Amino acid sequence: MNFLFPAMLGGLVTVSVPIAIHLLNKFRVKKIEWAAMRFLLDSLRKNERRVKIEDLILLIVRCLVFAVIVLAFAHPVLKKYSANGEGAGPVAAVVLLDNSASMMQGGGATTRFDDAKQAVRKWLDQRDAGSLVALFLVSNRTETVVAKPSADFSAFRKALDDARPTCRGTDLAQGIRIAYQELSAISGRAREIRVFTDDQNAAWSHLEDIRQLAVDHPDIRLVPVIIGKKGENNLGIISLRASGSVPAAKMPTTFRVEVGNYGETAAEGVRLSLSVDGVPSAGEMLIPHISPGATQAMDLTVNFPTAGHHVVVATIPPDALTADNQRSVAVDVVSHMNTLIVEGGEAETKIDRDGYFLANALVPLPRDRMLQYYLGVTFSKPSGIDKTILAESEVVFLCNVAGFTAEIADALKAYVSGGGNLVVFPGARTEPDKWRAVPALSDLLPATMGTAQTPADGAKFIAWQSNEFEHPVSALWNDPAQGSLGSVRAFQYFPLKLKAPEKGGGRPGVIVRFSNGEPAVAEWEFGKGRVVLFNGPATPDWNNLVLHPAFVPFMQRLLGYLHRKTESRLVLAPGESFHTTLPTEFRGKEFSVMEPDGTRRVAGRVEMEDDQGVIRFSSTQMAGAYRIFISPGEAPVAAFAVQIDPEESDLRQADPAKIENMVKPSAVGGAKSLTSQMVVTHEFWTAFIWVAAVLTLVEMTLAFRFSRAH
Amino acid sequence: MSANLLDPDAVSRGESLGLLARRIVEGYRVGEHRSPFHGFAIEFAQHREYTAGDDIRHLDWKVLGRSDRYYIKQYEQDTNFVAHLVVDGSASMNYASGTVTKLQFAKALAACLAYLILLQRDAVALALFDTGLQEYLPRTDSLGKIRHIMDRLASFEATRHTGLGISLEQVAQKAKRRGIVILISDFFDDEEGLVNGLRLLSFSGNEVVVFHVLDHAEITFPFTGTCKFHDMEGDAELQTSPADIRKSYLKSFEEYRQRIRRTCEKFNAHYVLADTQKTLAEVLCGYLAFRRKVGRK
Repeated sequence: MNFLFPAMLGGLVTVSVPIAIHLLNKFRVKKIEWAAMRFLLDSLRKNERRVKIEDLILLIVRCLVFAVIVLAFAHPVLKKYSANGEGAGPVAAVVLLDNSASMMQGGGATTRFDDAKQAVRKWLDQRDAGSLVALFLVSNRTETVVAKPSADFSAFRKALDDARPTCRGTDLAQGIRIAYQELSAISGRAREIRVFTDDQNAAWSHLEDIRQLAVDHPDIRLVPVIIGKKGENNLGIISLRASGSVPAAKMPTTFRVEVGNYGETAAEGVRLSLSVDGVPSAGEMLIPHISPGATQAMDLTVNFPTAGHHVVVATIPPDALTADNQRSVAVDVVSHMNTLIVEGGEAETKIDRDGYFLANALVPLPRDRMLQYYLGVTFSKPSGIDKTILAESEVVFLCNVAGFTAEIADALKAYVSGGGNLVVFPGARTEPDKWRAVPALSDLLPATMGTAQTPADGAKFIAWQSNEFEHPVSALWNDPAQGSLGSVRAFQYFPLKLKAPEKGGGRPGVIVRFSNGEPAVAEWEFGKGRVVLFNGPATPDWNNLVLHPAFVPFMQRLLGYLHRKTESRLVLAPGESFHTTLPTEFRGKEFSVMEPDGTRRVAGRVEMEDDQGVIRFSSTQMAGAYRIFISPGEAPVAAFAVQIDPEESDLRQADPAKIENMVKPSAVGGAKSLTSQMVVTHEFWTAFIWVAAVLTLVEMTLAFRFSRAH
Repeated sequence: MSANLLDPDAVSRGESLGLLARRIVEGYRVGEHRSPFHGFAIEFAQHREYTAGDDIRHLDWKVLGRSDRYYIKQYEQDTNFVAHLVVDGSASMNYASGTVTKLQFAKALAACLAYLILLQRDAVALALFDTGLQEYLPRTDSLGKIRHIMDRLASFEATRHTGLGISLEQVAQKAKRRGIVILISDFFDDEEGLVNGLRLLSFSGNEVVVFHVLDHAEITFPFTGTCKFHDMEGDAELQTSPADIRKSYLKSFEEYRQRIRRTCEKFNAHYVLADTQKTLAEVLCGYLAFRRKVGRK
């Protein structure tokens, strides 16, 4: 026997009320001078024993009345461990229906989501009429479609019928936490949380949090209802992204596609195709073999015929989960890109200029073809920097600059904050002290530069790292076939000391280190832009980087990285809101959106914000490419892609023992097992009320009879 | 004090009803009551057979001459009577659940009776007793003595136990002539004493009227809660819940009262329950009305 409101048991002190009244009556004595004493003595002698027994019986009955009433208010219940997780009587339940992308897997005519809905309906049919039910759709966000547990089963059924799976990832912890909060406010009945899920491993990523919730709420049952015995075998495209240089019209752009095999058997001859704006572009590629649990990366090259917004879609053959058999990415293909090289020193010959090697690396073409190349290079002196020239450049390179005036430094800071990219090659003319003295310059850099130095211990040079590259720019050289950066040698350099991550701001990263671990190239995000700091010049004076075969691809990849970072907003997770800016001429005009399924609908108007037109669109539940049009029949003014969470491709189920062990309260709280939760099987408060009523009647009857009997 | 004992209402109503001797009483003065003596002077009543010891002056010689049998002539004569008012003055008579104690009620009852009796030119003797006869006022037929009677009543205080048997024996010795003995008491004594006393009084030819004076609380026992009862004629104390023993008490008390009544009936005495909650006039006039209805025998 347990009590739902054990605090009410404190009311048992009221049992002492009849005793207190009895004693009070004994002590509150009226004194009477009495003449007919012998009749009293005679009566008392005859009745004394009986009177005492009757008094005792009445006292016990009265105490029982109080005790039983208090027990009734404490809500006595009988709890037991239910092997099948079912409790008797009405329940207050929150149904969590997993609607993440993995629930779209299906080995037959129905998906796991359909099966889950059917299981919920069946469970609902078995509930008592007095039960209260709520429905949450759970993915990596929680949608409370029936927010509060309610007795309105028809509303619940309608919400269940309307429920649809999404392309989002899964995190059950958030939904379970909200469910616990909702049920904590309910008392007087059995409470449970039922999670209808495919038990995908990723869904339990916060299992420790869930376990703690279960421990904190031992009276609320958490019952995972696993749909499907095991996860389906699945091949999925888990990544599609542009790599290499900046996507430019009529220039080859490389896309890296990663295909994961989450089945139990190897995948052979997986056909991978790539299309641009719906037109097969790169043809098909055959992935010969993907081992179980392995991921295969493929690079495909695409030529964009025109600049503008394009959509690239990678496709593999359909399987159990169709949602990850296609993956889209939106690309803003440039027609021309301006860069600015600021040289700090004077040189008599071209080859001695501070930006000579850099300019050639950025535009690695003969002079006669330079104009056809998408990238343009402009040279400037430090004193020539102003807002106008900065505004025309997507990337600014500072080569061997001694320092800047505060005004120019402020302009540079404003440029980067507004989305520009800055790459710094310090050289012999660079005076770190002067840079540090200018706050705007000092703030921009991801690391502080020390005084120029030579390699320690009398070494002639210090080499770059040769492997274990973690940064996207340098990751290419993890493949030995691409050559080695370990042969880049520095004879003199500025030691870099990374700054501490700023709260809400940039987090310094290292693109390349020296072999001794010191940062050789650092970068971070500053405002909307990025800053990259090399520890030496872009000349062969202090190192052999510019002479190294990797210099050109390194700089191209760096440019591509800087460009993609500014374009990263074109790839969204399901449900994320898209916004982009447009010229003011579009102000107030309606825009329409073509969704991944080909439907096109008017989605809003272009608003004005900070003298720019702004488009916002938030109905991004479906994975795929979205194109935004202002005028029908014209090219899209913007495009973006929604990508499914790659973790959803892994349909393998979590280890049941692990789930049970982590979720069950017994690990701390003492219950038997996850599916053998303590449930309320019987409630007794009404019975106790009846007993109290009967006892009251008995007391009244006895009191009447006893008083008459005497 | 003495004046208070006469209840004007009781006296005025009693006057109209009068006090009639239920039986023929022995009187020393001619009145409206029939004499117990069968006429030696006034009016022939009947003959009876001679028995040894009879005064031969009353032999009817004519009958003897005609029938050779010895008969005594008896005469009938109206005469006055002597009423002995015997009032219990024991400590138990001090009980009162209201404003009037049983003793006050008894004293008032006795005073009224004395007044009424004297008013009709009959004689009254007063006896006050507790453990024994404490006060005795010899008979008087003068209405002027009523104040003296009331003074004696008023000055008597109840302090001791009840000795009913001894007291009635002493009263019987005092009441040499047959008359009415009006006994006013709560009879909280052993019942044997009452039986003996009534036997003595009755056998000596007295008409006995018993006023059983009881407080209403003694009859109904209305107490609640927890009470500690202290015996008014002793040291006994008893703490109890009256509700627990009410029924038993009432049963026991009613049985006792019925025994008193049966004892009275056994000795041909009128039994009158005098509840002190009732007015004196109600009790007195009720009895006198009953007495008139019964009439002379």
